[in-house]
Amino acid sequence: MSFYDHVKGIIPPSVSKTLNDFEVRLNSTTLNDEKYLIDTSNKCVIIYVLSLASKEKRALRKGIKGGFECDVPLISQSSIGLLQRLYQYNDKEDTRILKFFENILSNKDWETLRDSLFLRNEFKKRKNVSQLKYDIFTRYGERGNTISNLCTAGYFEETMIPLYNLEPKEFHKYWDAAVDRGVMALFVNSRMKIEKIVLEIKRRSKYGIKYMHIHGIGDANIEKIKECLTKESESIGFTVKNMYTDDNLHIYVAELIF
Amino acid sequence: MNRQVTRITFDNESKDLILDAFNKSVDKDGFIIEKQSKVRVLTPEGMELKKDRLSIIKKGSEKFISGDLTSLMKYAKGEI
Repeated sequence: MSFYDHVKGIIPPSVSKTLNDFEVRLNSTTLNDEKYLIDTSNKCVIIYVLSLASKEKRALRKGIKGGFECDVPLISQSSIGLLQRLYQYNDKEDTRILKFFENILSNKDWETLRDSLFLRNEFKKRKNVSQLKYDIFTRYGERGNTISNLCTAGYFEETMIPLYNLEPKEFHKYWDAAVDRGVMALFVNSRMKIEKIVLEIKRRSKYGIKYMHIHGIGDANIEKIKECLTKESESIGFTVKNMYTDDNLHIYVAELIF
Repeated sequence: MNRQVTRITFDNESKDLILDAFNKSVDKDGFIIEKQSKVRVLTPEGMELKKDRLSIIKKGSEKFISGDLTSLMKYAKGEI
């Protein structure tokens, strides 16, 4: 039995027979004690769950199960926006990067990279990415966070791919150093004070690397970085090169040469 | 006559009704459990799932899928 066969007491067959390929939307809001509303422009029928009697709720539960048995997916309304963007996401450059690393990175790192490329794509479109960042951190931990930061900063196309092409045997040593210890890049966030930035630069200089990048997004972070670089370049022993600024996205990147 | 439902969507407050339809409930910590055995339901990736993170229920036995980025990415790619 289909969904509508079960819910005849809520939506009469004379109405449901007109609903071909409609979405069923279960809402906990109310509308003047109405049990349902047909929204033809959005091709959906809204069922007001709180307006249903117990018997009707039982029928609705059977309808949900009946729809499920007929392969109708059940989806949370709060996920639909992200899901649609994931279906539409089709960036050629991102696909090229993913393809390149498919057999190079572990499954877990590759999945992190895939999520991170999507996050970067959203960021470029000026979407709020804080939940996506949180999701990556929750799932993949600090390593995932670093991969995501490296990805947003363009390291995969600018550094990782050229490095692999140049030294494929050395790549994994470099990769693990980059993602486990965050050697190559420092991402300044709003919680970091200048003292912490100095400490992190000194920590990275101990690994004998010849350069590192320092990134800031947002005016306050950019100001902190600039102040730190001006004050500390002599005491730590680095010169600042290849500064990059994107005024549009409020991004600042400086290369420190040790 | 074709009266196919394209999808059933639900808001956060309707989740209890949805879970009830599948003989599931929620334990004191907010995790989805089997009503009878009280065993916590697992996602296709083997993780326990809190009600507030429930995003999709898909056929293929019963797949309860989380709403985090990785899970939705895998769902969109047809991997789960």
